[in-house]
Amino acid sequence: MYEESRMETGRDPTEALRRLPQHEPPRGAWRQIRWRAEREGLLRPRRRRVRRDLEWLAAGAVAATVVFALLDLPLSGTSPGEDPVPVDEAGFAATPAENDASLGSLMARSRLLEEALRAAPETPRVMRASTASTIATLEDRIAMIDQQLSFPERPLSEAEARALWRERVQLMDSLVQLRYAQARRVVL
Amino acid sequence: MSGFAGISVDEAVIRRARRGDAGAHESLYRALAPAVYTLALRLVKAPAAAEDMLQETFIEVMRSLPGYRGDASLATWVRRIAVSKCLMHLRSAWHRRAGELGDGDDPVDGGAPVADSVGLRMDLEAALASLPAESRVVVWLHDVEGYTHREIAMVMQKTESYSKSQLSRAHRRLRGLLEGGAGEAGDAMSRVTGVLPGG
Repeated sequence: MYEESRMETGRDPTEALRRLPQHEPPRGAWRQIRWRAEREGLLRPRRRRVRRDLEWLAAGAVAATVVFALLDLPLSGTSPGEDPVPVDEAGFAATPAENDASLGSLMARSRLLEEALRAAPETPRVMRASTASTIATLEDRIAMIDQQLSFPERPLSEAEARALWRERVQLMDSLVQLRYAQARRVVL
Repeated sequence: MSGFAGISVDEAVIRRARRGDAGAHESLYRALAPAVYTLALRLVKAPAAAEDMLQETFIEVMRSLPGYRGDASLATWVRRIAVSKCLMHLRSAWHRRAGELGDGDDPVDGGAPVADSVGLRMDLEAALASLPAESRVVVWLHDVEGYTHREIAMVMQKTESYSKSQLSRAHRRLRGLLEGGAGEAGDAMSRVTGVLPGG
């Protein structure tokens, strides 16, 4: 019936619709998507050409100190020669303060650490294999937690969500400390 | 023709994107964004909403790419995400309140001629945009994106016969709008179909 009426009119809406032109997305749309994706930890920021000089590092160190002071987290528990990465397969021991932290404060800490990481010195092109592997482990575990938080197989209880956010904060903290320790070694 | 047809993405780019590489995701965006934005614009109509759908789609691509197994082409997979985001938007409480996506009882037939309300400056895009949301979705997914009635029924959570009847009514409505729009509308149809008005 429909086919008949299409023939009768001699004007084919289907064909007409198929020939409509494509529209270009608004300028700046990608920038917004990328900004949001980086904020949500979905994208690794592109490597930027940054001068690794003492002045720049000092600025970074000041920023890190401020962030760590805000977070009330230990600045470093490592000696200069070793990677400051408290990763162990059994998991991460939380400080009493972190155990008591509310979901909101853990999310706020996580956000601050994301900002600190973005402000951190560029990863050097050459690094020790153990360091590279540790960074990859940390990033993978953070990604896994993000996946669990974003797409849980069943609704998470508040305690479960808090545990995941707590672990995320600790992993992010390790990552940030590692990046700053790395930069310190490169400069000095 | 669907803007998604013929888009192919290098496997290496997909692998890098899976690892969260920003450059690879930008390449995916450059390849797919015009098709996604056009689809969104056709389905949700408002440019601001279409831009939101564009953003939601690509953020979802970033989240879900590690789970993409390659059973369908990447373009098809991304299109599925975009359609789903648009339908979610149209089903949202805000839109339902605005009467955009009802329960299928839109006055597709028997309403006032659109030519009366929007004048004679109607072209095909405006005619499409003037359709009720469900008809617009069905006609676009079927005619342009090549969805079958079964696929449309699945994504819209309706029956196949519902999809068929919506399509038939939408076609009638489109022809009516364009013919009712007289000169300019008829010309618009002719420009895109290559058929002379009245021919």
